[in-house]
Amino acid sequence: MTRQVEAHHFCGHQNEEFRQCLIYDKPDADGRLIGLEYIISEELFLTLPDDEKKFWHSHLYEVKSGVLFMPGVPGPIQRQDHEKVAKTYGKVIHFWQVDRGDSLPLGIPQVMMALTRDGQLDQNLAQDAEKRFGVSFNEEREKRAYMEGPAHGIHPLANAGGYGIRTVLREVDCKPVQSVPRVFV
Amino acid sequence: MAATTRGSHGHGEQIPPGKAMSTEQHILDKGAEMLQSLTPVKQMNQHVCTFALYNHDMNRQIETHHYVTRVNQDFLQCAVYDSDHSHARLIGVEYIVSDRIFETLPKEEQKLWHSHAYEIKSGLWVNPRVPEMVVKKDLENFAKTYGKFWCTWQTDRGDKLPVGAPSLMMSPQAVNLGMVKPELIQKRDDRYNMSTDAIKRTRLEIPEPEWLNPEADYWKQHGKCFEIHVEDVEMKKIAPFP
Repeated sequence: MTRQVEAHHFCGHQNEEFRQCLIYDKPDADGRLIGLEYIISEELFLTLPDDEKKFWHSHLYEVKSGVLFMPGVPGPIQRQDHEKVAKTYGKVIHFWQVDRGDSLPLGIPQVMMALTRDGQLDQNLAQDAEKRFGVSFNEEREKRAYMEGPAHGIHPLANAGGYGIRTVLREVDCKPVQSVPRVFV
Repeated sequence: MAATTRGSHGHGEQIPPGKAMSTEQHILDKGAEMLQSLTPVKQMNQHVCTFALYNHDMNRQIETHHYVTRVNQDFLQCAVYDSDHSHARLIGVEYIVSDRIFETLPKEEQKLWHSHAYEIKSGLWVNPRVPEMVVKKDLENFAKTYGKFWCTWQTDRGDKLPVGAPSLMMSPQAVNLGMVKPELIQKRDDRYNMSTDAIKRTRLEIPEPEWLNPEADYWKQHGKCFEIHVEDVEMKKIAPFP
């Protein structure tokens, strides 16, 4: 968790309880598509098998600390959306590790986690973003103090159950072809 | 598929599940859309429809819709959806590199990539509703490229929510395991009112690449496939987590 990246999410709703987002490393025309995120309501999260829950992170801290924000959107409007996001869970997969300087997307996908408490965020990363976007995380934090998280509390199996998740690549025998008709096209 | 209702999967079962959008959320989204630039997303300038195979189970094949951004002459990035509808589900990301870039990659990395030549020559890779003439030059270039496609939501097997680890996807190839099922192609032909077979014939002149790197399409050359597994590990951190 010592490697942290600033991420710009561009999200669309499938319905009230489900969003899907493309993640870029910067909000510009040459932004690199580094990953994606799915965001679901607490109700949907609770339907996931226990084995799956570890992939998902809570959003409460990110929202309440002010580090999650919508550039260009006035505070009062943003906060209406943040009230909802604070109760959700997200699954983020990155395919491109730009933070370690990869100029191409190399290796296998990484499961990302989110900040869950003070002291985790790299302060240089924070101050740099505050400066560029003209925001103050501390001021926002006060304005968001009233917001609440998931109704049943943050699930203990979420946030990787407190561990890290490492993805590994395994070479396996290819599954044999079934006897289905196939043609050359 | 063309006639299915928003979010449904043919059986009246909703994928993903969830309550309908509230008016408030519609207004919030519209407001954000007006106030924010959304610049990176607006760089997508091509819709490619093609097919892909799960490397860990190549009997499972899917139709894919790639929304492509050209970053430079040698590199493209694609958001991949399972249809071209407004409610299309975001199922993964593909990166595309030129043969020039591909040859510079380490061998271990090359194993994860697939070639595009057959997909293009066979007419499987199309830009729906765009005349072939318009894309011909582009297709010639694409025929020499390699792609790396990670699928994160297996909607084809009916997963209501994106579960599990990402899957590495492979491209169709002219050998048994790599051939796309005729019914999948027929379904697409019907929907777009086109003939993949006729398109294939118009592409005869597109040159085959003189060299296809044998590390790409690893399964085809080596009979081995790849799967992603996950392990719990102790995390390096600056403060307690979570």
